[in-house]
Amino acid sequence: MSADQNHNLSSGPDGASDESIQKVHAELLTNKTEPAEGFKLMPLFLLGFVSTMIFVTSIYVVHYRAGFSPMVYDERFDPKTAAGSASKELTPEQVIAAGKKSYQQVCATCHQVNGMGVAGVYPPLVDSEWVTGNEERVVRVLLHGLNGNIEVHGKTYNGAMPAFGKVPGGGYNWNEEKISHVLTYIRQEWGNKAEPISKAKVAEVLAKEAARTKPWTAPELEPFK
Amino acid sequence: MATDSHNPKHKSDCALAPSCDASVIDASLRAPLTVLITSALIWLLVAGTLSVVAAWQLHTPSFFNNCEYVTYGRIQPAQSSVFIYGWGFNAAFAVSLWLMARLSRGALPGCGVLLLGTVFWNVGVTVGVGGILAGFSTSLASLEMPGFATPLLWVAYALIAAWSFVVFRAGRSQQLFASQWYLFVALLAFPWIYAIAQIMLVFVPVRGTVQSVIQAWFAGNLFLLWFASIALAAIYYFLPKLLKKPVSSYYLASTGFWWLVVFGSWAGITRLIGGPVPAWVQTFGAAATFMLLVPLVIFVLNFLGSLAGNGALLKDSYPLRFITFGVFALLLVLLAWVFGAVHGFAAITQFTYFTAAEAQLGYYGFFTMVIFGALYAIVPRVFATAWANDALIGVHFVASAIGVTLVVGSLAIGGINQGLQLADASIAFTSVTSATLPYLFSASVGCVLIAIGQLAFAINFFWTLANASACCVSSVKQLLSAQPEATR
Repeated sequence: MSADQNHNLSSGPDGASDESIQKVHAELLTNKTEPAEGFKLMPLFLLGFVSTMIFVTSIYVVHYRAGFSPMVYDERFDPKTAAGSASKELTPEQVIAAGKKSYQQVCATCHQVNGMGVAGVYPPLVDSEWVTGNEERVVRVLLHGLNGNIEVHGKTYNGAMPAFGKVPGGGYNWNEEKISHVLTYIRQEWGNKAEPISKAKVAEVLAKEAARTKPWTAPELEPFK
Repeated sequence: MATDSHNPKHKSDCALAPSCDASVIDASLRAPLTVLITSALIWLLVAGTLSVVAAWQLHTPSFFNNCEYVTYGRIQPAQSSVFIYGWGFNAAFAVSLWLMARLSRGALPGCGVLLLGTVFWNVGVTVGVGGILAGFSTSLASLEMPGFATPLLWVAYALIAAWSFVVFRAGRSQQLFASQWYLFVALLAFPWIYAIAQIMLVFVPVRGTVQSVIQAWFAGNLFLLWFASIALAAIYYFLPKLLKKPVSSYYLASTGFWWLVVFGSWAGITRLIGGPVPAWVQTFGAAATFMLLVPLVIFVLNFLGSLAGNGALLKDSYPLRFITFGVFALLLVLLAWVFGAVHGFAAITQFTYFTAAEAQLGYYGFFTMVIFGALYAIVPRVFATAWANDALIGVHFVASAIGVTLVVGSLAIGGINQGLQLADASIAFTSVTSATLPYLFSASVGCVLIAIGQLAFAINFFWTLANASACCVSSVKQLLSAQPEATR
């Protein structure tokens, strides 16, 4: 900097003296704005550089903050996409637990906690061919509901099963995942031993019956027996 | 005589104060600096020997493997502790005390407590290193000394560091210079970071991941806020003094200072990238490290700007040669920190010998070389005699410069190579390890060269001390009679 050349340190054979070092540098600090030689490029460059650093680093922090979560160890984590992908990979035990929770909150009101139902109105789920049989049928029942008489183990029941799926007139609007959990639960609880039902299967059935607007009746479900 | 000649223009500032005469200040520091530099050099020789043994054991594991006290697992932490707390701290105390006294223009009013503190410090380091060799290491990098040694260090630190504030208070100077900013930060930061690290890691250990965060925070701060700050203080003082011209773009120095202090204290966490700590902690560490680019640019303008066009002076001035080497090492080490914070780069270098190269570059190439340069300038002034042998200084510089370059270069290249091979699943782990052998061997050759340079420095120092001792006896009497004046 040419400004520095205006300041000379007093020096001996031993180097510059301490007093002159301090005095000259103190002047350099206080006189930095002196417009002696007009336009200076360096302060402008530094201002731009410092601003760029602050800007870029702030973006970096926001982008890789990983939700400030103590449980996240990968800086590329994004809570939005991670929420779906995390529950997609539930273990079989977690699926059963999730299904049991939904069942006890809602289904157990009619079908009872022990799955035995109520005589004449709500059919039992234990060892029922409707539950452990063809998955096409049980998925349809849950999605759109079921009205009218149905027969289980030789006894007739006449209740009104509401629609749980995201269908017209459905009061519950459960997503495919929740439906697959609760179906897997009732197919494997109380001694039932049927295959689990996947979310994809539920979605497939829902797509096939997209035009349906009212609950099923037992005769209508004969083809899916 | 090594007194500064005063320009009549500035003389009026301190004409009334006897303590502003540089020779009185130097004389008052003669006894403590003798003890501090002597202990620093003895520890340096011990550290040099231990580093050769440890480096040799890395590629020849049978070396000294029949005695548990000198196995690699104990030698390496002992070497690191001797180097940091034995050499590094004693030398930093000596340089910071002298710089503060000269810049504040205050003489040391007495040195009894200071000498007691130095004795405590060295006893503490001896106990700590003995504890490591006996198997009581804490296993925390740069905090290896066992808990029974460290409280003594803390007390000793207080007894020693307080005198820098005493001479500042006693001094007549009205201006604060950049060197003093850095000295204050170093002197005030160390007790804080050391106490936090000792309490939270050794005495009342915190649980789990937090330990590694605190350890990385401590190691980063120990380097940037203590060692680098002391060395920067020396650079800011000796560059204008030896070049006989002001620091160029000096008005930027305060910006560089604040950015280094504020962001540097976070930057150490970068070494946890890829480790088992929450991602946001790593991100903050990396962001703070990126910010070090600002002080880096300012150091380039300040230091390289001052040095530009003064290459001829390097030939005559040994202190300037060491300090210039240190300046380049500082710029390189800051650059290595910034690159190490980039995830793609860290994925290769993290947990390889590259980090060891970075540490060597910082602690030896930068801090130690700058301190060597400072001592080459300080000793003749304090002892009022020239260095005993110029050839030994040349040996010291050449051996150190080649040695450091060899150690840092081979560990860095070997580390990157190691990282690339580790990332390749088709290469067996044992062949990755054996591929590092040639690099480790050339690094130990570098350690031997460094040790030769240290030996040359020690011989030269004790020779000079012997030359000066004759007049020292008389000057102690002089000092005793001068003291009542100096304390005023």
